[in-house]
Amino acid sequence: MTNNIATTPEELIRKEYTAGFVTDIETETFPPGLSEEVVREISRKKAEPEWLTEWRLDALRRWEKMEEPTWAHVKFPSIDYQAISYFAAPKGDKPKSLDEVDPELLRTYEKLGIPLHEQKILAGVEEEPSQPRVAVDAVFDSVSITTTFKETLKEHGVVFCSFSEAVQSHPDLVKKYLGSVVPKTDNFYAALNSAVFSDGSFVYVPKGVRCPMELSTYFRINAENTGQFERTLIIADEGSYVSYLEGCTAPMRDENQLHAAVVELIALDDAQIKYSTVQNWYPGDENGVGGIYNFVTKRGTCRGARSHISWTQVETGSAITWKYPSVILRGDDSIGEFYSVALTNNRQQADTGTKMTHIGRNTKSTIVSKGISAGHSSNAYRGLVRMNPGARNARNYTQCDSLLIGSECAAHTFPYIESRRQDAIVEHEATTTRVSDDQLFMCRQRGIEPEKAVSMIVNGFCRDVFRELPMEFAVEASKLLEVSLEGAVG
Amino acid sequence: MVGAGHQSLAAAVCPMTFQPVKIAPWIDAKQIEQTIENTRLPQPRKDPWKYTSVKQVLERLDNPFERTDQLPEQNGSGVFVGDFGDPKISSLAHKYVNQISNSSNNVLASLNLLRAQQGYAIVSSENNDSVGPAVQIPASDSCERILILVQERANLEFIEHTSGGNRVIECLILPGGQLVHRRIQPATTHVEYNSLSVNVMENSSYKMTQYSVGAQLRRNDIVINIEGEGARVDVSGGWKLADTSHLDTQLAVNHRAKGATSQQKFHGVVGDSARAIFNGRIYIARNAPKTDAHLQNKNIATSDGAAIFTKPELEIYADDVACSHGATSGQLDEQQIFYLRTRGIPDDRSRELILEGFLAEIVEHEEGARVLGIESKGVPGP
Amino acid sequence: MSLLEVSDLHVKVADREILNGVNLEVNPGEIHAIMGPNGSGKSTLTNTIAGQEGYIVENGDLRLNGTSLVELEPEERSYAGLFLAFQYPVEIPGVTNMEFLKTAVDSHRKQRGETALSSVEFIKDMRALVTKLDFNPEFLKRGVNESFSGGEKKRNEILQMLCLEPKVALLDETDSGLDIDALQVVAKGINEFRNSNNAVVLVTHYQRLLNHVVPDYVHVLLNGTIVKSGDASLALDLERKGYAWLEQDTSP
Repeated sequence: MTNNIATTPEELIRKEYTAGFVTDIETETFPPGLSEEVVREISRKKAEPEWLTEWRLDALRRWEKMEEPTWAHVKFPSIDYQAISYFAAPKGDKPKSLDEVDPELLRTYEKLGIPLHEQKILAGVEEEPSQPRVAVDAVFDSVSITTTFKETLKEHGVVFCSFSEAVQSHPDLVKKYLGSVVPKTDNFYAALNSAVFSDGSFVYVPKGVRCPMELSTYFRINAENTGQFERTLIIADEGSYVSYLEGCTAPMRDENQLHAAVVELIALDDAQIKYSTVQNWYPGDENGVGGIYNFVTKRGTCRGARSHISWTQVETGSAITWKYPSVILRGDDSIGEFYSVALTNNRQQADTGTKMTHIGRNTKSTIVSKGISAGHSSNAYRGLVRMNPGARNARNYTQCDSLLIGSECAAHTFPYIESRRQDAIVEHEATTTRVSDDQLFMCRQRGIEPEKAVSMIVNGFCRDVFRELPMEFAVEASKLLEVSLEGAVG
Repeated sequence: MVGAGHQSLAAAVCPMTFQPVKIAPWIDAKQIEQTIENTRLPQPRKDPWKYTSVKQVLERLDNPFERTDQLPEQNGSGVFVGDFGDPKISSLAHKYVNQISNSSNNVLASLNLLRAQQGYAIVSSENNDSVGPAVQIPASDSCERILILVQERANLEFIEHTSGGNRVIECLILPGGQLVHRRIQPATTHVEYNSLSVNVMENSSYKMTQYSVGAQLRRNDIVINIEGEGARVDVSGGWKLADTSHLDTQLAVNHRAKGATSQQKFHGVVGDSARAIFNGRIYIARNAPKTDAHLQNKNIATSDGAAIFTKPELEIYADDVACSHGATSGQLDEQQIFYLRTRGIPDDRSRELILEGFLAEIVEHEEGARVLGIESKGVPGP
Repeated sequence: MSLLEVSDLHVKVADREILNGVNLEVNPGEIHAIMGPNGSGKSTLTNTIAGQEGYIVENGDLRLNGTSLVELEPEERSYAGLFLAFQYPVEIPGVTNMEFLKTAVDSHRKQRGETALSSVEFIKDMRALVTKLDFNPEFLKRGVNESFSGGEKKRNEILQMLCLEPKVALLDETDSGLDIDALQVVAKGINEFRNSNNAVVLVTHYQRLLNHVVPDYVHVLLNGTIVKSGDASLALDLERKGYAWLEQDTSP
């Protein structure tokens, strides 16, 4: 995943969107519109059990009575939900092996730099020996194309497959946990997703297993006028560990496309889930035409004692981002973390942050948010830290910084703190600054050109978050971090 | 015609059980109703009424207020106090009343004008270099409307006592003027609503401190608009809440001119089953570069029933600014207590001392210390 | 040809004339000290030479190795061989010293048509340099000047100077705020740097650094112009007598 994701701030700020091509492939697309029949048809396509069909229909009925949230600091014309197509997939049956996958699709992933050929990596022929192994689930529009390293993972008892497949192969787990973290009616977009969700990834890590490799899902929107509604469910059983990364891109189109995903994480006793996102959906052009509406509900629950969930996100894409990866700290001594870099440029708008709900005793949460606004963009951090009456000795620390580049952009901070517990400690700090003339001059005096200097300064500003990205993705992050340099100084 | 919004509001509030007096001939009830109609009504359980019942506040407006005729005493020269009906005040009042608060779209401030039992203005004379004794605004559980005008290069200081009433104050500080405002909020069993709007012009300054203890429900809406270059705003305060008291302070500092500075600093102690709500907002408009704005809110809870809701907000549209905010919520530092105990101070007294010190950080005024109950305890002032 | 040549330099800052006709000639191998009381224009001179925005050259010229600097961008002056040790070095949070130094060195190499150094090579060089200067190697891993003490910031400037190997190093009040140990480290760095091909210009208003780095020439800047030049003994005179006697000299 090296070519598709901007890896230096200057690229982030002035990049050409290199993932903006369209794959020419025959696609089966539902006609636009949303109705019970459409929901039934999606369910039928996936040969889902009846309970799941009913679950979807219930969500649809509830969604129809709900209203879009208006509290976020974003503006966009109202969405006509009947003008969107709710299912798109490459024609034909799901390929049983990589050899059956349409070569056009393989080329797409190759162009995006996503490794779908596991054997090459295993043999160490084409890749550098140091390159870590990463299992990939590739989701193209509404379906999963292939999942790599399934067999290797199976040896460890780890289930990593598409959500549709999990419904067939692990119905009990799906039934038990689906909607247990993000209820159907949690919010407008989550309800919509619950009715029409297409594909996504499913992970189950059994008791005591440390997942032997990074898992990742690569989401690609290709079809026109379709929405993408993936659903991801990750369950880490007692004492297990998993690190998961998602990446996302879409073609450059003049129309806005809706992406309303739901991600649910469950960590049982002593389990740890590390979830990283590099979000690079098409952001629209410099005049704000086109781009993805990224309205996503991500939540994890630290159900078990001493469990640990951390979200790391690098948000650079999308016309509008509405996203609050959150943690419910239910288990005693559990830990929740949120590390975020959100960069907006041109006419992009982001309203993103997190919710940390402390329920258990001695629970701890850390929030580090770095917002960078450039161009005419608007970038808001919105957070909630809640200490419930039972959260004895709970702790939160929040650091929330904004960097402004240029005088036409905006940066906002809306942190809610709610404490109902005497011995709970909440600390919140926020700053807003810009790249100062003095910093720039000092760099230039040392011979560093202004663009490079800004990029370096922005990079430094984000360092606390970048260092949370999994080392396995150092290849991607190398330019971001100059990890090799820093690591070697140790 | 009165709009539907006002109708529903009226249904809850307007069937007044008392006859409002018209406090000045120039008050145009029709026009005010029109203003209310055109303004977005407060939404229950949504910002800025997320933690405080707007219904209770509206109901309070419906209950009889005692009519008072008490005007602040006028001490010394350089300042004039007059009823809205006073011919010396009338034209000024007509010009400014509901203009300053309207810029913040406050329906409750408009309602206050419809119900006010008393209205008066405090006006400094121009260029009065010497500051006379502070004007005392007496406590009242009435519905009152007050205009404060600081003329160019003039000085004014006033001490405001609130007590379960409904008071709306509008302040205008003309270029080079300086206004010092102390607000004392002692215990009351009433529902109290205060709205304060301040427009700060070029090179003028506004300094306010607010000291609050328990009330059944006390809501302070404060909007400070910086409209002139180089203005300085310094707002601070403290609260000590016990029993089931409820205090909600909503403070916005809007930077609409360049090169101004603002500081907000609030410390609170919350015990028993009390609730403290603080929302501190810094807004910086695009035309307000070179702004320096900071906000700090610290809270200590002394019981598990206490609830603290704080939200420091930044909304920034200019890049050449230095802004920060911080908020904390926690309990007494056990290390500090231990330190004092090793010096022979008993546990209870140690806790008291530390809390007193925490509040003393924001106390700048004797009366403030008294209302917070930290005077004469051997805690040195700042 | 002299290395640095300042001729009849007139500079305005915010519409006020600060420098009115400064002349200075610095040859390879020389150390010059520019002294003067606060507000005499010392920092204006160094900032103007380095190309800080807002310092308007109204008249006169600045030449480095014969090339006029006046129209050049700050980084181009850096490539030409000019180094300014700042009086108040700024912090760049999160950017490690190592990263900053390597970026600067690589930029210079690129200008000379050389390839970037490998990280391993560079780190080795830096470690050697840091050890030679008695700096703590941890220094390299910290953010640029981030929560550095005053003395550490000044040492960091010296480290950068040694790293970039300029032809002319301007040191703006590098001795101010240093304790005696830090002063010696800084002096050691300057003596390490100097050779017969480069030159050092020390801007200071005390002579204590000059006990450790002996200047060939001392110039007194007063009210925007150099009123007196001499050898190292002039600095001692100034230390003893202050600047007032020169002030009288310049009055008509």
